[in-house]
Amino acid sequence: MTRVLIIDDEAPIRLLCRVNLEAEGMEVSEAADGANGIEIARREQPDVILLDVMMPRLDGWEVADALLRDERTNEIPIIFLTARAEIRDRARGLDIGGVEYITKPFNPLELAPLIEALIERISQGDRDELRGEKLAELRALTRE
Amino acid sequence: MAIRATSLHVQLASLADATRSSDLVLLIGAVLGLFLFVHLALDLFVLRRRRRKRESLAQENRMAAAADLSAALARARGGEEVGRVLLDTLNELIGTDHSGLMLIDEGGTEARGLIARSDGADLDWYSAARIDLISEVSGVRCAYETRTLFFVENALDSSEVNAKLIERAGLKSVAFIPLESERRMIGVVSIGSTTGFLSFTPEQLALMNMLAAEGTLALERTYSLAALERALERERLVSEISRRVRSESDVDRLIEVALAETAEALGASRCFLRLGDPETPAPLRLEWRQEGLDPIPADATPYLSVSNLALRQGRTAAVTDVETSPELADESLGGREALLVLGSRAVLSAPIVLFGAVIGVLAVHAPAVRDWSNDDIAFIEAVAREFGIALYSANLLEENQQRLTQQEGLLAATEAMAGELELDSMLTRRLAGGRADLFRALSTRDVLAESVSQAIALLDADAALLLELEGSELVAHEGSSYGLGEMQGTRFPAAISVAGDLVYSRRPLVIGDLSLQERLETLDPIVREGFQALLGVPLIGSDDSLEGVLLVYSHAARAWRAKETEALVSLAANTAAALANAVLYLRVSFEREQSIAILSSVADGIVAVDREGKIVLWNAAVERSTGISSDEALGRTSVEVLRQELDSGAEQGETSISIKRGGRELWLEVTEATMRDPADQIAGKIYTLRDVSTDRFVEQAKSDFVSSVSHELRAPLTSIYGFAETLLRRGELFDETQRQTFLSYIASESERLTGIVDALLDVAELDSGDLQVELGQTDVAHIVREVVEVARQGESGSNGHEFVIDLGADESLGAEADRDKLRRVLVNLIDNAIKFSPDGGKVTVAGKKRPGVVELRVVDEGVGIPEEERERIFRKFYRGSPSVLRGGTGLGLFISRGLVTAMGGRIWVDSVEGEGSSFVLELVSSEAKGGEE
Repeated sequence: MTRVLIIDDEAPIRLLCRVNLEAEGMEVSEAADGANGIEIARREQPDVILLDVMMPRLDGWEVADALLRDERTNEIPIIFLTARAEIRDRARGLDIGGVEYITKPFNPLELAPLIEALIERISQGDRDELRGEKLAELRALTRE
Repeated sequence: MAIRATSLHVQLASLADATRSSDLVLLIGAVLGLFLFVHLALDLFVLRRRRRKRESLAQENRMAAAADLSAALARARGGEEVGRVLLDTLNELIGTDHSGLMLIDEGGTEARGLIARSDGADLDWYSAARIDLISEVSGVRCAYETRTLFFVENALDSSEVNAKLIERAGLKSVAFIPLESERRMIGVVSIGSTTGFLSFTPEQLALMNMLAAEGTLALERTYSLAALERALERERLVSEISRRVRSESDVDRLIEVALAETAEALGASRCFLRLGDPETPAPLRLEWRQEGLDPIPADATPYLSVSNLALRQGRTAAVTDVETSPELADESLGGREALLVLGSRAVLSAPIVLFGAVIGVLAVHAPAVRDWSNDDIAFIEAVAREFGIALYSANLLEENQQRLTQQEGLLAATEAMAGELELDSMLTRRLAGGRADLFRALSTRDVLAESVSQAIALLDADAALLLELEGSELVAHEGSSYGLGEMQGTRFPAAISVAGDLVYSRRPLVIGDLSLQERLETLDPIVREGFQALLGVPLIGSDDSLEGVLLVYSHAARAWRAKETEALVSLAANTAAALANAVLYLRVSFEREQSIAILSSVADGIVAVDREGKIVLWNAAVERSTGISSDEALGRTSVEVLRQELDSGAEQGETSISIKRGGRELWLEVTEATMRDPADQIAGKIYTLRDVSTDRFVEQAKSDFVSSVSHELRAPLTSIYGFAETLLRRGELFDETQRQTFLSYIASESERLTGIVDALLDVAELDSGDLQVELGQTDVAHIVREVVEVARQGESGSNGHEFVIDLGADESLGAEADRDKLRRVLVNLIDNAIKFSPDGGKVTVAGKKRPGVVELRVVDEGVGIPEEERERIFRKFYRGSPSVLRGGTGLGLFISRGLVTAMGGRIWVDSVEGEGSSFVLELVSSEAKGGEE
């Protein structure tokens, strides 16, 4: 069973993700702030983390950085979930080491398939390739 | 006396504070005592003198004799004459028939006969007589050594006298009298009898001593006079050489004469000059030698050991005896042999030093052993000094001569008369000197004044006048006359008057004697003032137009020389050019002032740099925007001043730069343009700097605003859209409770969305001033409870904050407010309080009445707000620092303040950093409002 950790300061968003992912048979845990999220990630070793960027105190960038730096959590793929839609933010997310970037608002029904596909590819060892693809996409966008 | 004096001294010392009468009595006693003592002492002295006088009555004759001798000696000139007077007096008064005087040299080695008298005549042989004071036995030596009179009754038998001399003089009895001056023994007088044996009485011996003392004084005076004369003579010689050095242009001829005179003055056989530095065997430049001597061979210079020594040491070398001098023991100097071969036994040599460097050496040779005196040394050093100057000025003269020749070559060729040449060069000099002054004058008035005063000086004239042509009149302006009284504003018709002639002829007008020209005298008002001569020249401008006339006047008739006319023409030309220069300067400086005035007043910053990039203009706007004064900036480069290159490298264009002002970043938009001089070379650049910091800040804030509004809108949209999609999922996945939760989220987030849109509208209204408030009696307490309740409900789960309402005893707080707007303000403040306090923190809303106002406080337990932020947080788009950032549009407090102000209230923040914030809201109390009505 796929285990997903949602780190977001907004309760409705956490609930939204939880119900939709659980509907697809995933196991979901929540954290309302970054510090709590890092702690849970270390403890529970989720398969994937959905990470909000704009949070008080520790923001998403800092949380991602801390997770990727910690060998207990640096293998867990991070999907940024944020209202920040600018290309430079997306680039930053990937640059830090995230593998996917979902812009709010998003269709919650697509969340689970996206996570599945991601985990599938990563299990095949394509993690860096995946990031490379995303960066290439971004570059293409930037050029436009 | 000493004791008395001391006691008096004590008394006097106490006088200073002698205020009591007893002190005064003591003092008077002391003064009387002293007086008596002095009187007594004087009496004693006089008595003693009288006694002494009585005792010495026997000597009075001697004293008289001495006085006579003294008078006679004073008339005597020269040593021999003095000796003769002395000896004759001695012979006469003592009754002897022979007396002689021998002088002793300074070293005390030899006595030489000066003069001897026998039977009223000189003894010829005596002046050649010598006594060796070291090895020979003699009475002279004895008197010299004992310094006392020495008497031999039988000279022929005595072993203490010089037998040869005694024999030669034929003396039977003889006395030797030492002549001792204050400094030394200068001689010995011998006095005796050739006829029979004599015995001198003590009286006679005393007389001899006395007369000898007189003679000593006279001799010493004579010899010091002689020394003085010799010194003077040498001075004259040096000054003569010096004079020639400064006048003689043929330096070889000069040296030749100087060498001969130096040799003569020092009684030398050779005198020569070598030139060159001590490192080389300075070659012989010129030599003077006595007739019959061979010249020094050219290759002998390395062996001229004494002059080599002087060269090497850079100081005078005096060698008494070449054969024995230890100074010549150093073989590297050249040895003794060469000098001896040249027949030189004594050598004196002085280096020629110029500006601290030895450039040569001067030397004199003497054929016999010679003890060079201090005078000799001083003399040769003086001559050497003059040689140095001579050689130096000879070089200068040569260079100067060349230059003069070049400069004046053409002129001289055309000028035959020496007088004309002199006048010309004088005029040229005066003109050249004045030219710079003319061009230094920067106003026309100064040029005019300078010109007339130069005209006076140039021609030694009595008056001068410069008139400028204006239309058909010649006008005197301020400063344009000299020696003519006030002329300013005087106008002369160009058609008449002397000056008028110049206007038409445009040639110099030369009148040496005006009295011969009646017509002029009646025509020209100035001429009528009593001038006899006049010289006038036209002032021709650069475009060959006549600009005026320059006139000089002389009271006496005067034959103006062609050169003088030419000089005045030149002065007039200089004046015309200087006038044009002054006008140009005036115009340029006016234009410059004008440009500066314009540039300083423009609102944009203007910086101009010269071709080296040095700032030459830094206007007030740049001073204001950068905070750097023009004094600091001028003359430096932009990199030095702004730490930033203004020049983009392009001919022209626009760039943006940022500089630091204090801790603040300043953005400047730079427009540049290149200035080129007429030769199309870059003369400098001019930059306009526009401070776009504010624009940039607003731009940045707007951009941030758009991004945060977008985020603020996206958050509720995500929930609305997400829960809607979730509810639309196929299959019955969610129970009724869950569906209700989803729907309530959709509802509340829609409300949130509305709130954001309302806020944006509020800002738009605040910005445009269209905000409307409907004030009315409002129960503030009620609204507080309402808003807090909503907030409490909104808070759920782990975020849960504690809310406290503290309205004191007052259950109702009436204020003049717009109900809806007040609610929005409270919602904002409480949202902020929640946002900025830790989860589970306490948010307190307190209200109370104060005179005239209702005060509400929203207190949180957050991080607080730093002092410097407390005003800024109310600005549009302001959001907390990133560490506390949590979304938001940055509009809440801006809107709140706008709304509160519109309701006639105030809002501010009290905060202790780290201990939370307290937002204070003050509204007009409805009681106060009611009171007013």
